[in-house]
Amino acid sequence: MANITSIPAELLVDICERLRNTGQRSLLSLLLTCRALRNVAHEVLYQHICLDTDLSTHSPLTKFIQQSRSMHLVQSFRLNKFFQVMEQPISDFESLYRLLPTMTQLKTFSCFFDPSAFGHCNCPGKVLEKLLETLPPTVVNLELDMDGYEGLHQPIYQGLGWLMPQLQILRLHVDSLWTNMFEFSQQNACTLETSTADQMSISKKRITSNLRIFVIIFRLSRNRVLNDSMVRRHICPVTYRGNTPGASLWERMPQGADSLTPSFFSSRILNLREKGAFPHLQRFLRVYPGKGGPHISMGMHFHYNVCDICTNRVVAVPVVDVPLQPSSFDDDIETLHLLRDHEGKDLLGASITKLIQFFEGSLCWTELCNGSRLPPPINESNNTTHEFERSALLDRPTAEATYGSRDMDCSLWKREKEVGQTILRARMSEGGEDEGPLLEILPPGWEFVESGLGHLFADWGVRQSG
Amino acid sequence: MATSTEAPKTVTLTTSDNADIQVEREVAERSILIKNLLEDLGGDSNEAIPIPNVNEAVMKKVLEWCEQHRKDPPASQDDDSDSRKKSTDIDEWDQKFMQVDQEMLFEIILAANYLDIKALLDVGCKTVANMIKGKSPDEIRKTFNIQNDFTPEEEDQIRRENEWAEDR
Repeated sequence: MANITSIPAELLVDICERLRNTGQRSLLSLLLTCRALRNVAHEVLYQHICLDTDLSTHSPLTKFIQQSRSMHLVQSFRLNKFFQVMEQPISDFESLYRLLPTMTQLKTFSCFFDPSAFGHCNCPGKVLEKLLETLPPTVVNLELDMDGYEGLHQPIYQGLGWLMPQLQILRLHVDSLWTNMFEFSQQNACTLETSTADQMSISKKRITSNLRIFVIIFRLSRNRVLNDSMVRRHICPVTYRGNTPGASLWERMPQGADSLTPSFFSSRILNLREKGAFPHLQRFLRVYPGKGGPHISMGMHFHYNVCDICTNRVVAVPVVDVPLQPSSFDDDIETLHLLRDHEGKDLLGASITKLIQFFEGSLCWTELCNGSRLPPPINESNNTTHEFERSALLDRPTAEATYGSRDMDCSLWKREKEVGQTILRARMSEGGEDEGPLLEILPPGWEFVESGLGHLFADWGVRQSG
Repeated sequence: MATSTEAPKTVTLTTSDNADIQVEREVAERSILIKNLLEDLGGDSNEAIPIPNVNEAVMKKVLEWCEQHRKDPPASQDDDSDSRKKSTDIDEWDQKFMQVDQEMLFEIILAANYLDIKALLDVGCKTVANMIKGKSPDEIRKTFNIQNDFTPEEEDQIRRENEWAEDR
């Protein structure tokens, strides 16, 4: 008689994977039913792991480390809420340094910094460098999401440098860029080769990187208050009414000798690619704040540049904040982010995560129900153009249906209603760079007029001129 | 290509219990196994196709599903191997279709596996997953009539070594 234990093992695996994707609990129950089901459920449970970086005595991570029997089953491992308490010695992380090498089939490693630790956090860069050094040689996919970490990034790049030859997919969400990750390309590998004359000779070979997909998100959700008079949180990052209008913060920050601006960093990569250091690189996407903002001049908008360097195209996407009336619900969303595509269509998102998903498109990593992260598939066809992930955001009717009762106050919409046409869209340009500001374009016979303060910066209206 | 005005082509399937079932070719070809067999036999063979692993009752049930899903687009290669996208969502018709006794459920799964009908196999696995979801080990054992073959010590050990996973 056919029953659950009579179906082939690969179907049981399929069933367990479906259970895992809806939550770990049922998988845990299945472990305790009988031997046959335990074996399958056990393998699936240990495939993809996500744990908070808490090494106290009874934390899940500590318990996980203590049962050391199944580390060889782990294929992807995410360290979540990574941080280091002020003054905490890096030796406190010793158990982690010992853990990673025992995961002999580990393919994917993710580490997410805990943004709420900002301010009482020491310098996890050093710890991370050490962790990266201990990753087994099987790791080919790596993701470091250091969003909110403003400490010293240099050691992280040092650690990345070690891994560059073996990595295929790399995703970074960072605050600064350093060159030392490229040092691998300067080194020579010594290989022993048997020559035809049966003599052993040593030939020198340049080390190359296996990298296929490289996504770098640069300082997307910086919401630090830069100006004392700005008290509201704001996603839009880099520019402020300073003495150098239009200058981005990252240009004004004291730079270490090797810390780079995004365009410099990418030209470095492309240069190395030309020299053969990245023979497999298919996609190189960078997302970074563009120059200019609404407080510099009327009609000017914050925007993000999404640059698909391997296909040589930049899209400048404007981001407008739409403040919401406080709601009676406890969802603490104060602002919606309104994006415009190049057709002028509205796309709205409630969180930075959604914006990032939209920008990353098909290169976005997948998050499983338990929090573990898996890289995008490597597409063998080389020349795809980058598509945004529209499903990550809401269109205007849906947003209005969802948040409409909270009075979406968007002066852009008011101006467009007055003018009677779309005046702001994303700008697409071929070629590697787009350094220009993003402006509203009024039809002839219209002009901007100052209208006092908006929800954060100076706001403006329109009127017919003359 | 057959046009809609022509009489639809049929094939005969012979089940493990020697029953002949006549069915439209388009419906039978939801099974990749049958589709490949028919292609190997060439265009207009009238030979009955033996399906030695599936009995009449199960075959009829499977064909009922194929009939309902005859116009579905073929499964794309992409989502085949992507374990991360596997869900437990089943559409309404399929849910009703799967309201059968457990023996029949597993027979359908085995038949779908043998006949290579990916979409039906998925529905079967989702149904089983949904029967497990939210249950305690004891309830799962009752549902599927499973004998507990662990000693209390073993059970205890399994609990301890997987404690880390409990709050997720």
